[in-house]
Amino acid sequence: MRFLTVFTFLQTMHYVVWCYFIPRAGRREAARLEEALADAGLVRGGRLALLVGFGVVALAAVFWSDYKLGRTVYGALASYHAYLE
Amino acid sequence: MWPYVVVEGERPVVLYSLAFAAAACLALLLALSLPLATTVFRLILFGLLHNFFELRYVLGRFGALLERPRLEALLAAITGIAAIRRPRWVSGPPPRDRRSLWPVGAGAGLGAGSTTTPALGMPARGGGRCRALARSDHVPLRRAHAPPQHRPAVLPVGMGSGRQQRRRPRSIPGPAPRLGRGYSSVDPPGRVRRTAHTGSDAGRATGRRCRGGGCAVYAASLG
Repeated sequence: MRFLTVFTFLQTMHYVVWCYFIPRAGRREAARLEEALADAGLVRGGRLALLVGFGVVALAAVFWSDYKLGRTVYGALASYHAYLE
Repeated sequence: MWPYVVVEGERPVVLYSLAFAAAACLALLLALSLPLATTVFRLILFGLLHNFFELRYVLGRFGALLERPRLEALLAAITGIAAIRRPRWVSGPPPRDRRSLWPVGAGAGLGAGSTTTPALGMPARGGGRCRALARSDHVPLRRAHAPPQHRPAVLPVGMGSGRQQRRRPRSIPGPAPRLGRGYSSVDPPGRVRRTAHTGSDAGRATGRRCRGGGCAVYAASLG
C-alpha cells in the first residue's frame, strides 16, 4: 500500500509536469513540430487537438467498459512515447 | 535574481514555483487519501493527453536527430512492439472475463461508510472496497471462490509438530492439489502466505471479487 501511495504521488507529479508545465515551457518545441507537420502535409493545429480529444474520450470509454482491455490498449499506445523518450 | 526571473517574457518564475508547490501538496493529499482511485482516474483522463504532450515536446526538441530513414526505422520498430502488446481480440475472439470499472468507482467514494488512512490517521471516503484498499496489509490475497483443488492445504494452528505441519496432510486422497499462481506449495498452518504478484496475476487472481491488495497491485502496474 505504501508503494502504491508513493507511486501515485510521483506519477501524479509526472502528469502535472507534462500536462501543465511542459506545454508552457516548451512552446518553441511545439511550434517547431507544427512546422514539421505542416511541411509533411500531416494533421496539425486544431484538427490535431480535436483528434487527440477524440482519442481521449474513446479510450476513456474503453477503460470504463472493460478496464483490462483499456489498460492493454493504453499500453500499446504508450509504447511510442516511452521508447521515443 | 531567482524570484524575478521571467519565463518567455510572460510570467515570473515565482508563480510557477508556487503553482508547482500547490500541485505537489494536492498530489500528496490525493495519494494519501485515495491512491487507487487517483491512479485509475488520472490514467483515464490524462494518460493519452500526457502521451501527446511528451511526443510533441520530444519530437520538437530532438527532431533534428530523427531524420527520415532513422525515423522510419524507429517507427517501424515501435509499431512492432505495439503490435506485440495489442489486445488479444485483435487476433481472436474477445475475452469473456471482462472487468468493468465499477468496483473502483465504488471504492472511490460512491459507497457508504468511511475508513482511516494509516499514513495520516485521517478519514478517507469510500465504502467496503475502499476500506479494503486502505488497509490492504490485513487482507490476505486468497482464492476463496476457487475450486477446492486450487485451494492450498491449510492445517489448523497448533495441530501436530512443526515437521508434520510443513507436510501435506496424508488424508487428502489422490494426486497433490494443483496450486494456483501466487501460492507456495507449503503454506504455514492456519494461514495463506501471500507471495509476490505481478499486476496481471493479481487481477486474474482477484477479478471482480478483488479485495484490497489485489486491486491495489493491479492498478499500480499501470504506466
